[in-house]
Amino acid sequence: MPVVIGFEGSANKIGVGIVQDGEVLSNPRRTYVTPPGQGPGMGAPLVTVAVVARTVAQLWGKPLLGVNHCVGHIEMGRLVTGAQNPTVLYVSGGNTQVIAYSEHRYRIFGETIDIAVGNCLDRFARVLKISNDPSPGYNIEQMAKKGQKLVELPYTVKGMDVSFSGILSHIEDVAHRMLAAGECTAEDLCFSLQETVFAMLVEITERAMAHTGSREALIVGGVGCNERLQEMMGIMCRERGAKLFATDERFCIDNGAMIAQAGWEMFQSGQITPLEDSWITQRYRTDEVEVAWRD
Amino acid sequence: MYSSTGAQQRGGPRFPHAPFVHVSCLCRAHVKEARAAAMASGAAAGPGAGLAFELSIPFPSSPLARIALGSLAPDPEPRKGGISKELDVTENVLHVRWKAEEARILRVSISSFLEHLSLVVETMDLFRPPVA
Repeated sequence: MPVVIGFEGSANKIGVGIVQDGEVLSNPRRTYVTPPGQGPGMGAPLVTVAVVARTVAQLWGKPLLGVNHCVGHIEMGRLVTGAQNPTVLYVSGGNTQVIAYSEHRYRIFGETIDIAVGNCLDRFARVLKISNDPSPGYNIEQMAKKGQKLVELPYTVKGMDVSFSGILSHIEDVAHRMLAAGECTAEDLCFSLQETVFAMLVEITERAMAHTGSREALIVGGVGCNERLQEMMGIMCRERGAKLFATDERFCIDNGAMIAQAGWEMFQSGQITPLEDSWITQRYRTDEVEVAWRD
Repeated sequence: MYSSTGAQQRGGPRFPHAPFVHVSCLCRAHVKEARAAAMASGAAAGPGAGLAFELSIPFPSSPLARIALGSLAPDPEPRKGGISKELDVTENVLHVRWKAEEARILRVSISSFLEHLSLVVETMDLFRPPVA
């Protein structure tokens, strides 16, 4: 019954979502598109939204809940797709994790040991001077559709974990020389990078599913909008007799409704964040959250 | 409604260069003015000096002052050491007291505090329930 307002501001976006009983009533978002040639330009987005959320909660006399960003993605993905107990691939500009639920925790089965996959794609876009508008990842995806040739890149799966920084340095080293020599096109590089990093992600997700015996996979996070990633994950799931769940850009990209939905689940299970404990932290791992709302 | 005594030197052996600024607010322009005062007085102190800085911010009522305290107090200073900040409320006035080793660190902290204060005041203006 209660109406929940979620405030999300962890990177270059601000989102405010209103959710009531699993129905998203409103979910606007604004993205800061970095002008070419400037720095990332992020201030302190976490504190900013926390200050406003605290003020609004106090003005209206409503309970406040601090929500883990990753848990927000997972709960929103479950709500929108109806997945019951999926193995989750969480892929964005700041995070790359394979997660499965067990015993009141979202447990991390595998993750990046250096940079996030989205960060790798964004920085690659910068090397090739691909536009940030609407987002570098979207532009890489469109260019990759025109790629003809697979350029061999390092494939760096380490057990359950993945690494992207070596791939990025490699491509930074060779890209300009190969392009100048006409050995490949920018489109070929986009295609090759996507195929390589997505194959790595599919591999560790599949291994986690084999561990857990899971019949569901869910992709969340901004990179989860990528239709080629969804397609590759779909093939893997089909081969295993599993079902893939994914959402479109309204919900995979950071948004306010996901914070509202996770906050609602927490509130239902009796959790509230006292004001003095509502400090923000940039180090808040997915598996630190007690998932009291699931069996 | 608005009054400012501006930056002045305050005596005392521990923080010989401590500036003191009293700022009234609940208007964005005033917060900006306070920032300008903070910049000016922070820059005046030499390196290595024990610095202190105080802000007193009156709100229209004591509940609003306590809401501002509740919104601004939870987040610790991002850097460990070199700076401390204390907040409390008496009646309708929010008091903030900084102590810092370096003017640069003090300036960054005050500047970011004023941004957040400005946000709280704007949020109050936009979302405060109408007084019965």
